[in-house]
Amino acid sequence: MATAYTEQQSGARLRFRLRVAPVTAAALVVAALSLIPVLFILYVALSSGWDTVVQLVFRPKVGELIVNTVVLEALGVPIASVLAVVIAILTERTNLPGARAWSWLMVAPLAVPAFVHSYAWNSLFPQVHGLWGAVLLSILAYLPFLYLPVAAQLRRLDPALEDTAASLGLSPFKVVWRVVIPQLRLAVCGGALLFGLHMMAEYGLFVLMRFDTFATAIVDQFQSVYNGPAANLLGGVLVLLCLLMLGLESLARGRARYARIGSGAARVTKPYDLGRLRIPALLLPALLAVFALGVPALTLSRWMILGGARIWRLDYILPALTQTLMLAVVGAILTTIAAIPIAWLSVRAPSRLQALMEAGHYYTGALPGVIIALALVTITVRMPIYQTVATLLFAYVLMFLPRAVVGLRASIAQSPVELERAATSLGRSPFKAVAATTMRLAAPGAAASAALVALGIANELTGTLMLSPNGTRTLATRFWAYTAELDFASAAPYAVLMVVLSAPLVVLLRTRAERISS
Amino acid sequence: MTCLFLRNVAKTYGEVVAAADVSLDVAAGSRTAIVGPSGSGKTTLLRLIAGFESPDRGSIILGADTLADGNGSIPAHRRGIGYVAQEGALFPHLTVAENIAFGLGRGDDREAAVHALLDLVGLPRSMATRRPHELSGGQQQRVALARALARRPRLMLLDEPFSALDTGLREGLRDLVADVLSKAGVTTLFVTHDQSEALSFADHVALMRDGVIVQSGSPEDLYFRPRDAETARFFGEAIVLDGDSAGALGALDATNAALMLRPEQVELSPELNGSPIAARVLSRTFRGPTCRLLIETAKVPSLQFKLDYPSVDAPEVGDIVGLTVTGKPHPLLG
Repeated sequence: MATAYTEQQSGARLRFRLRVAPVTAAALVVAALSLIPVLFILYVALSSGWDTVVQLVFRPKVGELIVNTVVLEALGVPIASVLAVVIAILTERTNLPGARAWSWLMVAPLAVPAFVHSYAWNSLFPQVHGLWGAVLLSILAYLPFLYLPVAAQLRRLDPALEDTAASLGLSPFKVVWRVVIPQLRLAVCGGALLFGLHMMAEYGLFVLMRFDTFATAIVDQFQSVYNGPAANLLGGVLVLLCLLMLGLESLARGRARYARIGSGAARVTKPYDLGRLRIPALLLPALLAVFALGVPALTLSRWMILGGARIWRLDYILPALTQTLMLAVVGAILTTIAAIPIAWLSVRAPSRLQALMEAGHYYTGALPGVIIALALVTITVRMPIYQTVATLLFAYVLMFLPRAVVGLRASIAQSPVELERAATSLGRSPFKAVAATTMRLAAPGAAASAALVALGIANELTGTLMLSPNGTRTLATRFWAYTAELDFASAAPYAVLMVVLSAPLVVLLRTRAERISS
Repeated sequence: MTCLFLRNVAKTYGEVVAAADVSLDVAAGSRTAIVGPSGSGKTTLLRLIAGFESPDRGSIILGADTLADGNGSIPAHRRGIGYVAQEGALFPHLTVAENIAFGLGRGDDREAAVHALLDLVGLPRSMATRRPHELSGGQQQRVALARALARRPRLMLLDEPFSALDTGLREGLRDLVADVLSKAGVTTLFVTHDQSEALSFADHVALMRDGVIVQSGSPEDLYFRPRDAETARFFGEAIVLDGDSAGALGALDATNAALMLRPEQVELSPELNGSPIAARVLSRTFRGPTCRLLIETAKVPSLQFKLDYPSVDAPEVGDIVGLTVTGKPHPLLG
């Protein structure tokens, strides 16, 4: 009997493996494609010879960059995480005056590209720069990546847990501390990973803050001295840092479960009473809104007024706008499709291979656009796809895969596997079963992550600068060209357009997140 | 001795009246069930007592303490009332032991307490290190009960505690919970929509409908002496006789008030001889040990009702059978 049972079990396991095999293969292809830039770096490292590697990597400048990057992350990630949790609790779960409006304002900075934040601060407060300037601007630009998942998770929590904790003698403050916050772990981990990876990849923001990170140094190496090997080897160190970050996140995430145990009737939770802190608590979101929205608004309106009609060169602006739109939409669709296999595997069939492949998907997102661009330029230079839209779109897919995977993984995790099984038992093939149940249910999440990707592409700067076919000028590259010439006024219309373009995406993102969690 | 008093408690959510004017006394050491269809306001009442909500009007008094009245409301965490939610609501980020010890103070011997409570609810001590998602539904409920008992509450509130469980498991756990609660001597108030659960688990039952307690009393009171036809039918099959059809079941007093009989008060014999009332079997549904028969009395105006009869020798459709009424029919209001 026992052997029969075991045979049956291993048979089932085999069938399961066979069933996920096509998905695994698809994920493997995406992961392999994602590996192109890192393989390229490896190739450069090997072909440059050990002496060159030692000479280029083991030098004080690299040490300084490592310290800069690590300090930046070590300051930025914890501060942003704490801020995101505090503000999400304030806006989602307390009687803060105008909580809903504040919650919108906390997501809105996503519509302002990071380098536009930096440009706004730079032209208004030139004294803000260096490490603390970099930390402040990273938080202003990227906090929504942490705030959104944390707020969504807060809305999803089972209120019965908090009721129970209160009945066990915990004051409201302690309920939040001991029951609510621990359950935000998964959301904080996911958000912190995105936040951290963006800090590693960001270029424009830190250039304007005059703070050297790997990303700025790599672009510098490439642009000023066209030192390909040096840039690529620095990229290698950055890849290692990124892997470290992934390891930290998975360590912090642990194996704990966060989904509701039961499906208990969800009821609207009563907001916590802030009491005498109700008005003082407004200070925190208000300050953030002024810094992240007020400052860019002020700078942009100032340049618009100073520039007048002169800066609205429609013959330049309109082509840039259409090209940006096309690239964003097509790129977002491609990226989401590429993210489906690994997102599905990570929820349904986690394994060592899957974790490895997932790491492959993530690391490119941490690479600055220029690394991916540099790799693709060098590889495609002798191919017909050199300097084509296809190569540019491929670069976008590699850059924004993590956004798509993180969003998709979370939404797939919400649809129970039993639905897939039910669909299979109703005669659907495994693939059709997944399409009819999980993919259908994950669609809002997929749309949200596609929106995030489109937002990223519309505002992408460095990769686009390097890979654009002749004649392709996006809003971001035009903006950057003017900023580099210190023509802040002419840059303003492009910044305004990027913000306007991104605004509906922010609205979409916020409402989707709300719908998923309700 | 009365432990909990509710006086004219009212609560509305916008237009919805969840509790209209509820007064209820709960005796110390008793097990009281608040039963009613969904949306009747029973869960709201429980939440008002727990302190998760404050009443708009009325007062809630536990022992010598006023928990809520016109002047305000003591928050839930200072009430010392135990609460077990529908599906246990175990904290997913904590182990079983950490869940059970959650409400204990720093000074308490937590390990000893956890072990004693696991023993009490009949779970092996080895389960202490497990996580909630590794437990079955029944085990989760036992842990939730142990966790609530750890603080030795004056009053225990259970919100549909067995509704998420399988029928078989449900009865076993119900007996265990009843046993644990009696041993601990805790006054218990629980909410359910399942009338048989209320009748078997509680020694006092209150029926709620549209935010009002329609009737409260012993399970026998509510079953055999319901206030009105709706109450009668809520607790089980009922034969309701109005003035005209009262005569159908023989020499019953024909009063103006409607009368109620439980089907088991009507004894059926397959042969007519000796039985005062003649009737015919209209349909027969096999249900395992018994058959459910649809019966029509012979006398005009006739009366139709359902009866359960042992399947072994149940009469066939069309058979003429004899009926005898035992016990007195109960007069209903309105």
